[in-house]
Amino acid sequence: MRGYISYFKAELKAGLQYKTAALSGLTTQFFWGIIFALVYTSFYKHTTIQDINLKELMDYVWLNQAFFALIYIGINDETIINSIKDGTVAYELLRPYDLYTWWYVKLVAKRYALVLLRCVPIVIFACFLPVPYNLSLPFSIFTFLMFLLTMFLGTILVTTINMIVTSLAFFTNENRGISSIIYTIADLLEGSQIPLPLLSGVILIIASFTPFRFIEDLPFRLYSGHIDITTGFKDISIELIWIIGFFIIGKLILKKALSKVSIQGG
Amino acid sequence: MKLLLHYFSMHIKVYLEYKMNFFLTMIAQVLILGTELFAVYTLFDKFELLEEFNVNYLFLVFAINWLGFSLAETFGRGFDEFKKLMKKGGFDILLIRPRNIFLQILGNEFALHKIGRVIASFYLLVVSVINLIPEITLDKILLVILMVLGDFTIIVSLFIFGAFFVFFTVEGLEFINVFTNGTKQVNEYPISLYHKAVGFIFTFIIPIALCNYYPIEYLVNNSNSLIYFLMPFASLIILGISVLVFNLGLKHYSSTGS
Repeated sequence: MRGYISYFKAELKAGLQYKTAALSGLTTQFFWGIIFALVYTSFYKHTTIQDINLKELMDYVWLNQAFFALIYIGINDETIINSIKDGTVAYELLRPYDLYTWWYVKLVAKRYALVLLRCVPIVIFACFLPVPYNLSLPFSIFTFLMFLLTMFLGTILVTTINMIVTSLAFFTNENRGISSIIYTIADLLEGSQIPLPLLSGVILIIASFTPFRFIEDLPFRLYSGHIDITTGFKDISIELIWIIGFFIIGKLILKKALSKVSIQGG
Repeated sequence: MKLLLHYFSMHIKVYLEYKMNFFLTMIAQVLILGTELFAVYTLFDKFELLEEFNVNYLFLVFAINWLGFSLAETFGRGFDEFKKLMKKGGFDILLIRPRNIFLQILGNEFALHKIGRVIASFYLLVVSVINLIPEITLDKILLVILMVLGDFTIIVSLFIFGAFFVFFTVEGLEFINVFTNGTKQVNEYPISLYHKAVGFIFTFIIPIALCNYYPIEYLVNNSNSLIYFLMPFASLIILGISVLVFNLGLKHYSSTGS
């Protein structure tokens, strides 16, 4: 256990070194936030809808930008995939640690390093924007705590999915095609394209049955009070089941993959 | 031109070596386009704006925007990925060759895996033109082509601006993508939807609305002024500026190697 913790710390520290990249990413996130804020406010100028109000939607937009790295499903670690491709994964296997957990820790540390450098300035910036473009304060202190908890669980969940997709690289040499298909669909069902309350029809039904909505839709809407606390707790319990399920599937896939790997050379 | 064609055929050969992955990437590209289109449609549907903005009209705006963008992404990739070229020192090699530097950078990389989007948005364009435009005449087809080319030129110009910054930072700056992707994102919707300030920016600074919003008036017979045929040429101004700026950067450039 201590080994994993110190690996997490080391990876986090390494990730925090990329300050210029963070500054650049930060600017990107600001601009995207502004673009989405402009698009949505334009729509609300024409009509008002019952499903979600503008204030709640703006919270969604800005939280999405601030915590992008924690919840965006397409964040992979190139070094892991490359190590599978070129065989350096053999070194990893020599460590007296469980490979699944090792990589899992690495992926989570990467996400936290990215977000730690970006979220604070974005949140501050978004809070001071003129109404209606701004990020509001959380609905209540209790929903805020729920937001923090579900944010944490969302990262845990999204990383179990990443692990499954990454492990597929053992079976197909080039997995960029298949992973981008999976991530595009997940992105839509997660609510990254447009917030889930704005969806309708079949897609909304599919989205409400798939686990992707727990990743960002749940925490963001808890923050703004769009989802009440009882529903929140119910959703968290379903989310936990998904996490355990994906964890087991991921471990099994990796185990199957590793049973076929043979290390050569002396 | 012959040089470009040669580069192009070489790249096709490389891509076709990995058939399965090429195929899957194509599907993914079309899926991305599909989800974006779905998002546009859903928003207009949700806010009950489909009476004010006809579906085919929305699809036409979307298709012209995406066709221009994906063509630029496919063929302007050399500038988009200029930082890679720069870091590996490949740019120095190009400078030594006695050929036009712009053509060489363009030919250095084609993002052929993005061709799926080109095909899909072209298909969407044809369908929405047929459904929207009352009588399709030769001049209207010409105008549509001009609009797509104008859109393409603007995005390529933005790529060239991005490449200019690489001269000073070497490490590419992610935020440059905001201008290209952001421009595309904003223009997925008709510009009249937005606040006037947004309309101003995309008419007079990045003149993309001149290539995909205003000329549609001519296409749907709202006006028959020939000025709409001139509008897409505004893209040449921004292209000219970007080339000038890039050359300026080139003058200050003194290799990344030893």
